[in-house]
Order: sequence, then structure tokens, then C-alpha cells
Amino acid sequence: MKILVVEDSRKLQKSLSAGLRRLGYAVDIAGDGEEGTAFAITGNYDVIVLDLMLPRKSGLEVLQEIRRSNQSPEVLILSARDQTRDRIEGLQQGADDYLVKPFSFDELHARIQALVRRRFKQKSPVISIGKIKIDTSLHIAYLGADCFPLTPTETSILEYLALNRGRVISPDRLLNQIYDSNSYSSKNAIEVHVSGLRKKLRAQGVTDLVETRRGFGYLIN
Amino acid sequence: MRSLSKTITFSTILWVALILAIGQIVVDRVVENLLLSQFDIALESKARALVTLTKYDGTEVELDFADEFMSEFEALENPEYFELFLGNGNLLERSHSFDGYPASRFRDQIDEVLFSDLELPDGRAGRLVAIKFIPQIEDKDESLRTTIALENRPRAILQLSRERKTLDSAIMRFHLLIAGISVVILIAVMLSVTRAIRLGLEPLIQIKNEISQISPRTLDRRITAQGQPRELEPIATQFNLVLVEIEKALYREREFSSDVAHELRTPVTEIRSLAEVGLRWPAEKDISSYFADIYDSSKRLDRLIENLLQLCRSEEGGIELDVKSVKLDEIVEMVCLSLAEEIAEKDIVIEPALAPMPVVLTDPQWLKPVLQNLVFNAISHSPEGSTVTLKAIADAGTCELEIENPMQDPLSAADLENIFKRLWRKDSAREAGRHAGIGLTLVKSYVDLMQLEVKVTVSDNRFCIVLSGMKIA
Repeated sequence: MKILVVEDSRKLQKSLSAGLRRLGYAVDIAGDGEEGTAFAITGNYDVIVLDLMLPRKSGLEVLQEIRRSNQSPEVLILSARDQTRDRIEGLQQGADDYLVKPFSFDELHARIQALVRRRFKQKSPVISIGKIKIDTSLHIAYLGADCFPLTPTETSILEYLALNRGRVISPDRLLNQIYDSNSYSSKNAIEVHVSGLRKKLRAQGVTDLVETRRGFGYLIN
Repeated sequence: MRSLSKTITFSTILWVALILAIGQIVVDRVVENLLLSQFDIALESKARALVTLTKYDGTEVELDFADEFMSEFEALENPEYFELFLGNGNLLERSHSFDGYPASRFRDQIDEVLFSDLELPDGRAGRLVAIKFIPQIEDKDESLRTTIALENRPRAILQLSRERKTLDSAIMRFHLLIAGISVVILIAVMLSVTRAIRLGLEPLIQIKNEISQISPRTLDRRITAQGQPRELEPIATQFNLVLVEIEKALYREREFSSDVAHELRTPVTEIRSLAEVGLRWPAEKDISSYFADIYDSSKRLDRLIENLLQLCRSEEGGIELDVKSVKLDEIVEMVCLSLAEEIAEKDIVIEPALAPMPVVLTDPQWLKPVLQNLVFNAISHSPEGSTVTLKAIADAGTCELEIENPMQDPLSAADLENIFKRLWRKDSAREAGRHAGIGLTLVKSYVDLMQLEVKVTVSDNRFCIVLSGMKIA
């Protein structure tokens, strides 16, 4: 899952990006409105966490440009402005959620998860595919009742393919959604992680969960 | 609660009633006297008729009176009375209506004609006229007129009285008429005044209704000023102007509260987020920088709260200044020393004036934070490696202190108008940094407290702030 944080406070950039990366998200950071717009309309993000009072271009202007572009990320506004009229304005301009500062990191995470579920039309945080269950809120996979040990990247790949069940996801797309834009990873890394994931699944007797469409990408049916 | 319309109605009616009462008394008196006078004239005329019938033949006085010509003197009902006395008080003649009654009191008056009220023999209230006269000489004997001198002729007094019930009832009827007219006038006044007041106060009531619909939530409403009466139009216009000012003040207060909330929330959010992430993932690679960031944000929060408190205290007023001789050089030096870290960080050169700064009369407790803020601002908004100039100019017993710096981000004329406003910042983003936009507001507040002046100018990309009005010791 790829998240863009558009926030001018260097300290918040640091803590949010660190926390969200720890939770398995790919996180890009933009420090002002212009940078945020450029990232948002080219980066194919699932969720954008957007501060309203930004240098160079306000959060609302960034939001308007996102909505005019061909991108359709979920947008969560983060703002110290708590007046009802501010919330209404933000939501009316096309935001999907509004969180007032100061906030709890757990609440921010829960709201991001809710937006991700909405994006992939999932009502429950748990996705069941045969014997495999994937808890998208805890980023844990289960085989029956037992926890299925996967690396964070493998979990992210499994979660992303499960959320896009029935659709072929190219390695480029996976690379883009699982790693930060500044990451030096390549498609080969994706192939290595998919291979490792399959090996662990097969070891548990789960075969053919992740299919390969040669020349196109990967698919969970 | 006192009602304006009731007060006007009550006082108007009271005054009208008072005027009517006085008018009624005056008219009553005048008319009563007029009627009495007419009554007396008629009474006197009748008495004069009897006087003409009184003759003197040289030996005795006679009244040539016949009852059949003046039957009122023997009428059984409402009779009139007369008595003719000689000058010595001897009763000469009296009307038959006196029959059975004793003679009435002889009035030997000085005046020729005397009117008085009395009780008639039959008990009714009456009016009496007494005429003192000299009886005429009998016409047949013309010689008597010449032989008997006027002063030797006998005097006679005729007393004529009649009931005055008709007069009294006429007066009473007139009293009642006047009283009735007064009551009608009073009722008419009451109704017309009430109506006139209602009509007159209608615009005021309309304004009251419009005002009653204005609340703190609907301060954008205005009352109708156009078409109001001449007396109310300026009030309505002024009220609307006051409303505009209140609305602006309330908007400023709301903006200020919102900005304060934002300024406080930003460091709190940073602290909370850093602490939460740090506690959850203590093995984060740069965890030690989290502590430094939390410390930095808490310092910012502390500074902001302190500045807000200082601003509140200085705006509350009631602060007494402790004015003393202060060496401006020393204060500037202390300020620069306290900002050594910031100066070094941006490699700024502080260039004090070559000439020594004067000793001024001021309160150093308030001057120091002013200079601290001004120099700190100059350092913060100057490009790295630039020069900030401090110059003191003494003129006519006062001293000006000029602080000038090159601008990192240019300011417009509109920016200069806002520069002393609370929490104003050039960048509306309120980027997390060291400036909350309250320093220059504090400066203005302290400068006002010290009764000094501060003004800002911009030219050639240089920002100049001048503190003036300091008295030289």
C-alpha cells in the first residue's frame, strides 16, 4: 500500500513516515503544496495524508488538483483547524476523511486502513482465500488458526494481490505500491519476494494461490 | 420596566388635564362673575324702577307703588321682596311678600349701591341690592325743587331682594358643561396622544424588532437605516457601523483563537506523534533524534505560551513603569549576547553604530524584550552571512533606534500593514518553525506601554524598523 504524506512539519514527516513504514506501508513525503501536487498526480498512491496549511500551495488547492487529475487516491486531511466549517469545506472539496491535530497515531492508522478498505471495497479487515486469511489491520497472514510467518514485504505483496483479487498486477505496479519512490529496489526484488512467498505457501500445502501470467504479472483468483 | 410610550402618554395627559383644570377654573370664574353681574344689573334696574316711584312732597317721602303692576312682590310662589327705609332707618314701605316676617336688617351703606347675598324670609338663598338715594320732588310743584336744597332733602334706602336659585342653577349648568367638555377633551387627547405615540414610535419599534433578531451568530444582519425618520436615521446608521466593528472584532477574535489553537496544536502534534512512534518502535534507527525533536517542539510550545501570557498581561494594562537611566549600548550588547547562538548559526554580522549610543530614560524591563524580539527577527529574516545594522540617532532630546536587515523573503506594502497583527505571518502555512507571528505584536504592545513609537519601512529589499520617542537622560 502506498501512502503520500504532504506535511510541512519536518518532525511530523519523520514520525509519520517512520511509523507507517514500520506498519508495512510504502511512504513518500512532500514538504509543501507544490511538491505534494507533483507527487500526488504522478505517484499512483492509495492514500494521501494531506495537511491543509502548506507553504507555496494550500492543502485545499492540492486536493482540487488531485481531483482534477486522472488519479483517484483516498485523501485524509490532517489539520489543526477544528472548526466545523473547515471540516465541511475539506470534505466538500473531495477529501475522504478529516483528522484534527493533535491525533493519536493509532487513530491515524485505523483511518488509513478504513480508507484502504473503502478503496478496495472491503467491508472487513480480514480477507479469506481458502485456508489463508489475511488481517489487513494487523498485517498478519493466517493459515487456519495459526499465524503464517512471512516477511513484511511478502505480507505486503500477499495483501496487495488479495485486495486486487481477480486482477493481474504487474511487477512494476507491485514495485511501485510496495516500495517508497526513493527505494532502490527493482523488479527482480519483486520476483525474489514472490518466489519466497510461494515457497512458504507450498511448504504449508497451499499451492497455486499466487498465479503467474507470463509477460503480464501476478494474480490471486 | 419603564415604558417610553406610557411615560409620554401619561405625562402628556397629565399636562393636558392640568391645563384644562386651570382653564376650567378661569372660565368658570369669568362666566360666574359675568352671570352675577348680569343678574345684579337686572336686580338694580328693578330697584331703580322702584326708586323712581319714590317721591318727596316737601313733608314726607312716599312710594307710589301699586301691587297689581308688580305682582312678583305678592306672588305666593317665588315672591320678590322690597323694603324702603328712610335715611334714619325707619321703615317706610315694604312689599306684601314680607307679610308675616319681621323687617330685615337696615343697611346704612356708604356706597350708593350695595349687593349682597342673603337668606330670604322664606328661607331661600337670595340676592339683595340696596340703593341709597334722594327721593325725587313731586313733579306738580316745581317751586320745591328750588326752595329745598339737595342736601336738605331726606335720604332713603331701597332694599330689593329676590331668589338667586336661577342664577345658581345657571352657574351650576355652566360648571357641568365646562367639566363635561374638559372630560371629552381629555378623552380625545388620551386617544389621539396614544395613537400619535404609537404611530410616532412605530419606526423605533421596528428597529427594536430588527435588533432583537441580531445575535452573536447573526452579526452580519443590519437594521434598516434608509427611510427612517430624521431623528432615527443617524442612530440606525451608527448602530450598523458599530455592528460592523463588532463583527470585525469577533472575526478577529475567532481567527486569533483559531490561530492560537493551530500554533499550540502543531508542536503538541509533533511531540505526541514522535513520542508514540518512538515508544512503539524504540529500535528505530534515528530514535535519538526523536528526543531532540521533542525537546525542540516543547521549547517552541513553551515560548509560545510565554509570549501569549506576556501579550495578555501587557494588553490588560495596569502595569507601572520603572523608568530609569539606561545605557542603550549595554542593553544592545546584552541582547546580542543572548542571541549569540542564532547569530553564529546564520553567520550574521551585527554592526552597531560607530558613535556611542546615548543614555535614555526608559524601563529596561520592557525595552530589553522589545530589542530582543527586533534583533531576533532581523537575524531570522536575513539571508545567511548578511549584516544587521543597529543605529541610534539622537535628536532634540529624544533618541531613535534603527534596526535594518536585508530581507530573505520580500515583504509587500500590504504585509507591512499586517506586520503587528497577532499571529500574522508572511507564509499563511504557519510552517513549523521558530516564529509564531507574535513577536512583533508583543513589541507593539510593549512599545505602547512605554509610550514610544515603532514603525517599519521597506526599501531596496532592506527591512528597517525604527523605535522612536525614547527620552535622552
